[in-house]
Amino acid sequence: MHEISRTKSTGRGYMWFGILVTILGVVTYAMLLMGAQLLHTPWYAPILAIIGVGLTFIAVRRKPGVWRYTALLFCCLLVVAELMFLFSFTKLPKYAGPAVAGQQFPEFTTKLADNMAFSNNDFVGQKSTALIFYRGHW
Amino acid sequence: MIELVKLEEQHKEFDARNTRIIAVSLDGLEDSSKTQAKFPHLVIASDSDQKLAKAADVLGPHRAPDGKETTAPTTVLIDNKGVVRWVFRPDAFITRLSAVDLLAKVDEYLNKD
Repeated sequence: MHEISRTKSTGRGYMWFGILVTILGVVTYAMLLMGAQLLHTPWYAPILAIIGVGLTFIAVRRKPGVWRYTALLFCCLLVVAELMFLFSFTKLPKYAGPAVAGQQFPEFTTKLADNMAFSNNDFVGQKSTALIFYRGHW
Repeated sequence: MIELVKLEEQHKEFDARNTRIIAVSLDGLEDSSKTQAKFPHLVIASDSDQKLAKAADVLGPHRAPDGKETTAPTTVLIDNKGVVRWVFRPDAFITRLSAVDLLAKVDEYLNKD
């Protein structure tokens, strides 16, 4: 008879994998923003962070310890921060006009970068216009 | 301003559709002229007096880094008679319409014929 020794994993791998998955969402967003210059809503970040919370929770259950509780707390805080960022901080109000499809663009007069006057009358001419409001040089 | 990079890259596609890009911010003339130099195929407007932003009602407390109000990212397609054909406002201020998506909307709303 051979004695089979079975040692249960302490769950350290869960902890590190959980931290990695949690951070992955933020890193992916930063890479897409800086590398591909893609401005998008990183809906995947809180999903990954929630998976990370689950994994670090398993690690805590396997073998409780200060570092594991710290990792769990970190992942939980990141989930909360990401959810607040997506569903509160970055939310924009819906646009309700006065620029409405089928109607003339409202009257205005402002300036172009070369200090020339620019008004709604300049929309009338040879070309169509894609008017893009952006958030400035910063 | 990051969205202007892709729009500049696609300027030939917009030209082919007889459409110009006019990018508006609340920047003063100095910053706007620097932006114009970076993106020579776009038309940059300096709406520091907020007249255009107020006319289109795109101003709001949208968390400019200096804490002041700024324009919400908004795209308006206008035909060559000055009539608005399509308006896009994202759900979040971190989201923008991509240049490729904008080209598709130009085809859909401005070049239907």
